[in-house]
Amino acid sequence: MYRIERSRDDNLTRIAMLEMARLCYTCGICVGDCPAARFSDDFNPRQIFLKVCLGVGEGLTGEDSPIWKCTTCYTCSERCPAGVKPLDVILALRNLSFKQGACPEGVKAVRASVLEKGVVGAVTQRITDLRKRMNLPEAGDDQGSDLEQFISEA
Amino acid sequence: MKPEALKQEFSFFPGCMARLKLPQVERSVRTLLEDLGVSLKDEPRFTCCPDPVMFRSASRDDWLLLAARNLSLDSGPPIVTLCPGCASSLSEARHVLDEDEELAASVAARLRKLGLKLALPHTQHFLQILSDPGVREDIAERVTMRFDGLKAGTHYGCHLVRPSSAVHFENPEKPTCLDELLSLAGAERVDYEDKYLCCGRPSIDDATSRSIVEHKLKAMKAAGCEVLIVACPFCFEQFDLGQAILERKGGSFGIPVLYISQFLSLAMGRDPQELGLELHRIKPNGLL
Repeated sequence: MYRIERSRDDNLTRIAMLEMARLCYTCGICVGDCPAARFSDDFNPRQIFLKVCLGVGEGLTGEDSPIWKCTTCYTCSERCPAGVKPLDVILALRNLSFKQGACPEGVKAVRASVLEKGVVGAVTQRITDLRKRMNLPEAGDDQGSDLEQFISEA
Repeated sequence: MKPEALKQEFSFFPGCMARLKLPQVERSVRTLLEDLGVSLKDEPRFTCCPDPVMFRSASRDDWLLLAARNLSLDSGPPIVTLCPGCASSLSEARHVLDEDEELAASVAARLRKLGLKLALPHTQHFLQILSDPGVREDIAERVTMRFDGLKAGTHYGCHLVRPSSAVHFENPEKPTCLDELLSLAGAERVDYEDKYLCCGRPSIDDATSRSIVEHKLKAMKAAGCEVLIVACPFCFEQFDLGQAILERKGGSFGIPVLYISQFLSLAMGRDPQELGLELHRIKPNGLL
């Protein structure tokens, strides 16, 4: 099915070890009620874990990888009989893609917004007016001032 | 007498989505909890939980740090959220830190630089408070506007009950709380096809997300749903705005979406305008 590389991708080996993907015995329960598998053509969690275990990196990371189709519903993690947390494996692959600079713009935008302002989104005049009319506390967007430094400190 | 579950104060975590996009949801949750006698405390330093989907997809380490910061800001009362994403994210971070002493020590050292002491307060979605039998009894007694025979579909939202290892609320695959709460005001439960399927919203692939929401709306319509009740701001937007977009492209559903707190507040006699119902894309006028 896949050609096993002589030189495995170390990043994948790390994920296989840390996220327990190596315990997967490809039973396929993670595919059964997976919304992303059912409603798209190329998202198959079992195939993803097999590739991680075999160290086959091709197509697993990057902006066009099917990993972004996952809805993070956690059904797979609830059901896996081997104790793998499939969603954690997907998230680890997404983290790796981000680190390599190859992830969807939306992810970068949300991260930038949180680190800059503390929130996702903006305090528009419309929202300020609506919140005032509804007698809600003012929505701030300046809690983020120290966050960038906080996470970057070694 | 005040039910036992309400005797403590909660730190209120509104989350970005309701705060900045759906203030009517925040209004209705505050109104409902205040009407039931829950004391809420605001913590202005709370940031994004952070988002368990988008933010965590960039870096799990950074997600954990920012979640730990939120948990540690006010080392006092337990936290109550209106968004399952926030509750699930903070609960999962708490679970991770609770299980891994070494990791917790390194996070604690980082927090000390901000002048904070690592704290892991219990975090829950407000529906967990409403699951208390005493609180339910109280709601039932306060119902002044009944919805007898209204066919109400429910959509629970994945993060409300999962991951069950961290969230500990209801059956993680077949929750019942929304259906039970609706029945307090006489609404009729509808078991439409794929009721427990995800709404699709968190998929970063638009086509996948749209096919799922369309499938669910068709199933609701086929089962005769007259209203859809949700408990997640993202699910709300997916079914309200998402439905409006599908209708513009020729779909026909006509299923208004209410947050459970809007529904219960209406049943308890609150004014529809004060709950912001006029802001919905799919107008719920037929229900009132």
